[in-house]
Amino acid sequence: MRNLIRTELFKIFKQRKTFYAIAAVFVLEAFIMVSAYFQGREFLDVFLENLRESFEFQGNLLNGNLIIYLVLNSFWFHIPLILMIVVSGFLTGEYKDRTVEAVLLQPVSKQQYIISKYIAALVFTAFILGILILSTFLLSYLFFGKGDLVVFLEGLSFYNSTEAFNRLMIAFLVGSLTMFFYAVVSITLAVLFQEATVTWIVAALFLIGTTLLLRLEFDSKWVNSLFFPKLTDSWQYVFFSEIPFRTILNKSLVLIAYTGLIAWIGIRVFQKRDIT
Amino acid sequence: MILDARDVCKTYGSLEVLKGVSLSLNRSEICGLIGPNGAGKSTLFRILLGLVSRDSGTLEIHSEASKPLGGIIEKPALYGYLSAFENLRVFSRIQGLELNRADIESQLLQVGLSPLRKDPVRHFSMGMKQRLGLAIALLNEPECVILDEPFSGLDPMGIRTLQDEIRELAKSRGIGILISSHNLVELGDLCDRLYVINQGEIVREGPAREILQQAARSYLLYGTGLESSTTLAKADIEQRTGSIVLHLEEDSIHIIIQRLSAEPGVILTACVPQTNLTALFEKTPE
Amino acid sequence: MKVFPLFIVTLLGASLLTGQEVDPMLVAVKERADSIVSFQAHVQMEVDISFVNMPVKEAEIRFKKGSPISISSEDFVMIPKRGLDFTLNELYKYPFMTLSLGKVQLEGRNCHLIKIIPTTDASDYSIASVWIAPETLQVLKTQISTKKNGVYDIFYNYSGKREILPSKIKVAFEVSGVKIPLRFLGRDTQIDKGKKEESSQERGAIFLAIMYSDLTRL
Repeated sequence: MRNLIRTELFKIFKQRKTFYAIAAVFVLEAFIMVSAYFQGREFLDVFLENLRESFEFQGNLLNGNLIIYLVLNSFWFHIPLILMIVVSGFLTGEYKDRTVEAVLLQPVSKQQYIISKYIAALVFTAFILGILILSTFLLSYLFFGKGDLVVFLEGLSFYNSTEAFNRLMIAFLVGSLTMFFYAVVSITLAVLFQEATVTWIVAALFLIGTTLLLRLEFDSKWVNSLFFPKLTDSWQYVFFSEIPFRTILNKSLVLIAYTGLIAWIGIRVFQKRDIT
Repeated sequence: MILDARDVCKTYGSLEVLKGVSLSLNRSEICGLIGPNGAGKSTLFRILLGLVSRDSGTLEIHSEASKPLGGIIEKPALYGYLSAFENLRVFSRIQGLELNRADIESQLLQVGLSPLRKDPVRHFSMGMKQRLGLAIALLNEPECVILDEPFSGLDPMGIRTLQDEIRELAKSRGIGILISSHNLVELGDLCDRLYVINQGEIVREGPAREILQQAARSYLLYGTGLESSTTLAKADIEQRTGSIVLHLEEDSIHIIIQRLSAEPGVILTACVPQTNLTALFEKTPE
Repeated sequence: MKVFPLFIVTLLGASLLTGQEVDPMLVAVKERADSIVSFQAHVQMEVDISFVNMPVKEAEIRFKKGSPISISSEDFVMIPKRGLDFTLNELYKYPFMTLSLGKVQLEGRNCHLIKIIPTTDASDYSIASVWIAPETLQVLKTQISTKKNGVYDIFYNYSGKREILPSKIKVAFEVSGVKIPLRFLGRDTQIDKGKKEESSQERGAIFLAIMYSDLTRL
């Protein structure tokens, strides 16, 4: 299995389209950062307007931490979209080139093959996230400096620079689980649909649908705890004044369970299907 | 016997693709599977190679090797963005073979490919791709290799080269080789045994020469004095430049050859059976 | 009829007092405050507003007579617009008259209450009240009704009876809630562009704890 995974990663990084995708992610990140700057200015003007009547502000709130926070908000739609297209290509490309059958003509079981695809997808996702997180923090602090973070959640919450950094890191880590979920979904969609364009369309629909469903408010506690779109924004809880770690943990565990279930579905379908 | 498939059936929806196909292969033997397009050749091969499940029937592979079967289905599937060297390395690694540089280069040389070539295989000719595909099929030393339409897309030189390689594999390495084609010429000289498949059923099987002979309905005769032969004057013939086509319904060519040999003024230099495809693909009576 | 002359005398008397004199107790307090030449102080600020969650902030204050007070901090800090005027200069900025309301009780302490009424429209407050402890001449509370920013109540605590500068200050003020006009980040910000949600006025406060150093007096 280790050899399969190593080989998968070797193939991924030998393809030019992987680097195009990485470049696209960075270009997107740059756009998001620029728009975050302008959004941040507007946010501060609007949300602090009334406080300005009673206070003089000293210190710069439009700093790297606010930029990172605003980037974080945008990440969880734009980046999964690119990621799902790229990751699903790891399998749809092999269907198109018929290398799926070439591999299965070797003494490699279907189960081993498809599991290695899932693991390679997760490793690739972690790699992309790692460089995104690193570059976001570096560039934000480089261009905008450090300072207090202000967020609007249950009112205006201010966090000093160190605490802001810690919360932002935890938020990225928690949010990464959502990215892993989407990566696994894209491989499963590739198993189900096999053809690249159809898979992209369905993946985009899935992402849009999940994002829309996330915004719906349900009265039921169970729906909010177990319905998977409601699990994809647990990172927001990190910015409550008292971080509800238990809630974050519970939601994360359920999301991991969903991820496992979707992977299991993909593995079963792949095993059962003939390679024609 | 290295491979034994019995009564294999496969249906896709309402279409019965394979109807109780039985086939076997021995070590060092080259077996051909011939049939028209849509006869079920590729489906049978996919079942033998484990890519497609069979609805019923048995498949036994008598081999202790970690990779009992190797194969190519239709055109070889390669990673077009990798070089030949990298393709071999990828395919060897995924099955746990740790080949060093020298091993891989040796594999490439064995199939007539240069290890110095670094460009991606999407730039290769079909013949080179076939050879690389064969090298990949031979990784891990399978005891049986299944090649589906290996000559398709090759020029005559490429076909001849591949045929020589296949013969060498069977003879020197004792590998049982099963080849499919819809082209008689490619298989005729190469195979020890032949299976003929049509509409999902094996309609004929046996030694290749016999099968082809059985389905021969005309013969190409070369020689001198044939135009004025009295033996041929009574037969159903066609004059061609440099040869005569003799049409015969029954199996009596040996009588014709004897008469021609005895006829003064006639020197028969060659007699090439022309297999009639319709006759070949007809089901033999039980 | 007897009321009329009494009325005239009172009016005359009042005009004599208010137009020309500042309450002597206020003058004494101001003189004490003006004796401070310079100081440095470390201040901890704790905001108490229902919709604001901010940790305790720390800053350094520098004061030099004749110059505005300067506050510096490594962090972001919100400095109340009122409450750090130890010298009462903000009230003295515009011409005013005073009205002494005599002895009152403030949280169980005897105080002298003085109203300060600006006599010019240019002032940024309409009326201020100052509660002074007569025996120590310490200002215990100031209430300023600003023209634009509502009413500020500033409470002062001192570490000793002789102290001129307070060690603790509470500034209470009116503040409107946060307007949410745009679709913004955060879990609960679901309101679309164009819709504005005006919150009602509420009281907020900021608590300051001050530790002085390098205090120079006349």
